[in-house]
Amino acid sequence: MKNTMNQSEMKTSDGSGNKTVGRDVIRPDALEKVRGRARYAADLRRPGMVYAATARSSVASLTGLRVDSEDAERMPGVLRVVTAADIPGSTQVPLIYMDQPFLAIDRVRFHGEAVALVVAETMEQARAAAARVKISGEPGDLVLTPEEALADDAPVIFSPPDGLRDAARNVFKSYRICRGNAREALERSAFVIDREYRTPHQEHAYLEPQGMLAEPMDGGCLHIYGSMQCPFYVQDAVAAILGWPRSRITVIQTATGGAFGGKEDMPSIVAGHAALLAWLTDRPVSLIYDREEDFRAMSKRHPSIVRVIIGADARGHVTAADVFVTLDGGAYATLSPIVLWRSAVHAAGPYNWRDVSIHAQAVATHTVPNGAFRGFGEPQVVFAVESAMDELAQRVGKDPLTFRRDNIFQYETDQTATGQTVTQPSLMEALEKATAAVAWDENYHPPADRPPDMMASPVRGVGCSVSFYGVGLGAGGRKLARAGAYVQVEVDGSVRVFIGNTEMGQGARSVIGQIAAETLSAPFEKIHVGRADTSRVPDSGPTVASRTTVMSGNAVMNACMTIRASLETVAAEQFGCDRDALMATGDGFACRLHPATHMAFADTVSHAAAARLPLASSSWFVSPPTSFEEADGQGHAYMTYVWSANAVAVEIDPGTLQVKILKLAAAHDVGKAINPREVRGQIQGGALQGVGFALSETIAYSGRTPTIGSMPGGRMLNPGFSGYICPTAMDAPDIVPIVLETAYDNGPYGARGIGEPPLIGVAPAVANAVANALGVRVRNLPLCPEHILEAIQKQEIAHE
Amino acid sequence: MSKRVTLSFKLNGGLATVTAPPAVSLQRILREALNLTGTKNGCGEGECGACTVLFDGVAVNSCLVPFCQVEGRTIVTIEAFDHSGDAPVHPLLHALVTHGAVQCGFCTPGVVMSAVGLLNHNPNPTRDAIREALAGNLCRCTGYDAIFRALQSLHSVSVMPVPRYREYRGEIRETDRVDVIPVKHLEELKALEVLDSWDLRFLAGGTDLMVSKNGQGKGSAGDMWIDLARCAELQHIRIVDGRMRIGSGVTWAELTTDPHVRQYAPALAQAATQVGSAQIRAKGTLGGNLANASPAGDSFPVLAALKTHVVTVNPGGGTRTIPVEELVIRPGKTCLNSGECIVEVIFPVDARRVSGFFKSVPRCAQALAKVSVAIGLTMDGNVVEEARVALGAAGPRVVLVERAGHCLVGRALSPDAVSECVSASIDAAAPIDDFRATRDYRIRMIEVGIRRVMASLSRQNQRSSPESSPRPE
Ligand SMILES: Cc1cc2nc3c(=O)[nH]c(=O)nc-3n(C[C@H](O)[C@H](O)[C@H](O)COP(=O)(O)OP(=O)(O)OC[C@H]3O[C@@H](n4cnc5c(N)ncnc54)[C@H](O)[C@@H]3O)c2cc1C
Ligand code: FES
Ligand code: FES
Repeated sequence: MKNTMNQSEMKTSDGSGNKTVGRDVIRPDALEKVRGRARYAADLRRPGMVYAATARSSVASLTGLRVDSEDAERMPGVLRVVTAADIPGSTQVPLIYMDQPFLAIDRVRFHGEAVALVVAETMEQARAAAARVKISGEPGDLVLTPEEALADDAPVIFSPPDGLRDAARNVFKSYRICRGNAREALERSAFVIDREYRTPHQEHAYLEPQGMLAEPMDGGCLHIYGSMQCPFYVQDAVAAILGWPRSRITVIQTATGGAFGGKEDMPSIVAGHAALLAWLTDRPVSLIYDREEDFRAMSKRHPSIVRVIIGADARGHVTAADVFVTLDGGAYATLSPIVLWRSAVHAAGPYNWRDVSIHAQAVATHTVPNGAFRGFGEPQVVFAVESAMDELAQRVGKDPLTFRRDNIFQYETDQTATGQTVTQPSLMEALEKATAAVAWDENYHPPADRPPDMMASPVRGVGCSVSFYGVGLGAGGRKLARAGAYVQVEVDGSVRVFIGNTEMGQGARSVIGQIAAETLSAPFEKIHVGRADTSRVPDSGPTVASRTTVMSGNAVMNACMTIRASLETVAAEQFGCDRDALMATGDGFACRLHPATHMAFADTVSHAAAARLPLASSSWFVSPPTSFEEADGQGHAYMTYVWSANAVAVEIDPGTLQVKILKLAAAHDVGKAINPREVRGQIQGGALQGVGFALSETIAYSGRTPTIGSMPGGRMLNPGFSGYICPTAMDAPDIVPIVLETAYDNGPYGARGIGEPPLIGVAPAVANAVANALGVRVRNLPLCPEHILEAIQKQEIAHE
Repeated sequence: MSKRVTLSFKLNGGLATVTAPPAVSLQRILREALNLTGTKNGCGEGECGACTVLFDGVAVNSCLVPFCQVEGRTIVTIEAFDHSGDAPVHPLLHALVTHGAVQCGFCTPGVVMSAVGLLNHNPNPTRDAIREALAGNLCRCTGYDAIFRALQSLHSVSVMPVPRYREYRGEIRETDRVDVIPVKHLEELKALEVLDSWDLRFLAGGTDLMVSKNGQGKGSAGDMWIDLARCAELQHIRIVDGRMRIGSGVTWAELTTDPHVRQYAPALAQAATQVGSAQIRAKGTLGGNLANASPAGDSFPVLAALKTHVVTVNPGGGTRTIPVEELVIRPGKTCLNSGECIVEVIFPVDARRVSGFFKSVPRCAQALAKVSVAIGLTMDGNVVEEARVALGAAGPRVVLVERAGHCLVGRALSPDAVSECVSASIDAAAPIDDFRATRDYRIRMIEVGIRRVMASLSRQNQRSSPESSPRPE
């Protein structure tokens, strides 16, 4: 494989070790941001710019939709009010199924759905007018939970288009993974646990709300600037809604104030709307969401119901797993099919089951469409299976750490649920290090029988979890598993690098710059990684699934290797030696045979330029092959996995039932930490989102949550930061990041990726610690005091 | 439609002169009129802190500061730290960058401003002090630890920037619904002719009113504001004739530190410390909290437990005195008439009285009470002479538990007496089931709250021996 060859070449010329890779370089974007200079979507201004706002349905289910925009059109400053009828191109957002309209047509399927757009001279005017658009129709029956959606007489929210496999009425998609005969194996097992676990919606809560600027340009072109993860999705969407060729649309990502999956597909809608209005008014249009509409209308993490039936033999070795996953997809399919796929592939955890069966389905409800969120369907199943493993351990009579040691992947012969043999499973090391960091041996005690009295002093406990995370899109998204890069060395020795993946805070521009610097043997300061721009590199797929480091990193490395050949040619000539004898110094080259020689990077560049050697290169990286058999779910699902373990020590106030995390240790095998400080930052930040998921974050809907008075069903009750409880600086626990580095052969400098794993295993580790401390098992997230109290009450009834 | 006003204020070492409607937020003035876009907008309701600026040296949420209140003030924004050209990066910013405290960067300008607000008066803060100062700045990327470490690395470095003098000019062309009348003396208010056509609101700290205004439509913000921020007669805390008088314009921040309050009304100081965030406490007032009439308003149970009366003045000069537990009719609605202004609250001071507060919250800061408990006990040695037990967020308005006196007066704080008080309180409460908490949990928290506060009051009472606390009168 080409890439492996690059690696070995690197090793011969890189005798003195890496110069930039593996160093805590300062992120260039941080300097702009900390001074308040970075320009986010809402900071952009253009001459003649006008403002847009969205009119949304305040009812969750409507048929015979009518829109009356007369009042709104007469409001001051209003240029135009637009509905689906004004769309010149496709009315549907291009994604997996194309079932979601840009603007509602005939029907409304969730509270907050976009129905009309207003464009006005100022943002206030646009928002005031949007509130005056009258939206009416016949309220339809409501379906707010997957159980209701699956009932025989359920109203139809989704019916599969012709020819779609593995979908049904109100079922967006289903998967089946099967190896051996789990049911029979469970019947023969000495110990079996059969439990149901639930997780709620989680909101991304990126600090910057969604926002786009669409600017008409000369020559019938349109430029889109804004907050996004996936410029190529945005380009697709704008081309679709306008019915234009992609070549007339350029999408440029601006500084993006957090995304976490929430800016994967959603910006396609925002940009589509802005583009439509820009085209209709021939003015630059700014469309910035306010926090409330961002909560109401933008995607969330799928709520889940996961039933886990797992068994162990008399010696405490796991036997079989039979897992049923139901995700609540919300009103439209959006990314549900591939989120579900990731849930399915990881649903049995990193354990040596001999027989596995997994059923997974994503179901439609009249609630906000759910989509991508850090972990992408995995946190839900990992919460379930890791909680169940603790319950099984208790049944078997082993402590949860020993039970995991006995059963996790350890050898390269071990197989995942899809039958993929694992490579370099460093899970044991992760588990040992994470648990040691919370002093497991001193702090673990057999779980209490029953919770202490409410005035008793606080109780403590520890818990752990293991997980694995398939890097990249895997076989579920293999069509997109490629990435381009363009690298251009300027004659003055400065370097421009363009990739098709985005910086959204995770540090991509730093990591990519480090890879370029290392590969070119250039000083890091010379590298300028440009903003993602669809006119610079071909469609490189989305910036998701922790894939940027491996995919774009490899592409950049390939491009740099081509240029490096030019540089080495002139250096070798200068020193009168073979290219093989060269060694990279981090700023140019030296000859191994003549220690005093050195040629700085800028000099090699000017010599190479004078010799008219090529100093620019574009490249293309295609991921190693993956596979997935639809019939039985067997195959080589992902190119590689990140191995992770979390361990938590908690303290619980028996009166308030508030859980306080004393320490959270998170161990992740990232392959190679290109920028160790940023890796630790990803781990701590992701883990804190995991803490929010574990302890406090949830979305409430009227009709599902108790409400005061007679509010119609299907309304989001906490669309803002006052009702949606994410951790503040006073809530953040001590999070200890533990970085393991087992090099991945196909990764740039051995890297695998780290964006998502940190969130995934936190909630079950906390749930297990709570069970250890209190003797009460909570099977529905969040582990808020109300849920703990319910669990205590249920247990008391069971004891009586 | 409001007139626009032209006001001047000090900005980043220079002078700003801006023409805009008086009730728009400082955030909009900075971003729209002056194109200082380093101040971000993450929510527009005081929850995220991305818009934090310094207002006379104190960190506040610029989205909640109305333009009319900045006249003559000193505002510092992130741009003050953006030294141009090759000037070295400011040490605070450098520390953040080198500790990896900047990821997406959207929270960062606000974090910097809160940090400056802290470091200005506390150059070597502990981690807990840092957490408290930053509790109003959400960061969704970093997990906060890198930010804490960056601030702890500074060791007394001077953090105030030294920007160059510059003049700033700008305007917001739009008009908006709200007009503002500033009032400097209560006499002006008494002389005010209130028109029937006005939908009148008083403006104090703006932390509730601006949320309604920014949210358009979510609760009306009226169209005529009377700005009380510069009315000196509402800012006092003093003890007169054995009674504590606290002006309605006193902020939560002042209540947390005032020595009289801490000594004679510890429950009030405890409640104040737990309100919102540093930014909210710097602006939010006692009077605003009362007039806002939220069932979760933290002032109600505390003031009810302290046996407080609310004193008001009407245009035309009439005054009223209302027991605090009778101020609210239903959630969001007080018994005040249009134009009736809360001047002060008054409660008796008694060295034999101990008081305490308990707030059940979903997180450690920026949290509305799920339920709260405040207790004031006047003790005669070990025996309760007078008992007031009040519950917040346990009904449509504050619940003063009438039977608490029957359970406690004339008895020591025995376990039996406390248990009776718990039952009486649960009977008196009418907690709801909603998305913030379940009814069952709220009931449990009433019990936990009462037991905890009673335990701490009993300890307090034992510490203050009869000799050292002279009996008044
Ligand atoms: C992020 C955030 C967190 C918060 N956290 C808490 C909390 O923990 N606990 C809590 O109790 N509250 C909290 N609040 C609510 C609010 O901060 C408090 O209620 C505050 O005390 C209000 O005071 P203010 O001066 O800002 O009121 P303003 O917003 O100025 O006024 C509020 C209302 O009172 C009226 N008013 C003001 N002064 C007078 C007066 N003298 N006479 C008559 N009417 C008057 C106004 O017309 C208006 O209707 C929070 C708010 C936010 C935004
Ligand atoms: S914008 Fe969020 S606090 Fe002001
Ligand atoms: S760095 Fe992104 S919110 Fe703080």
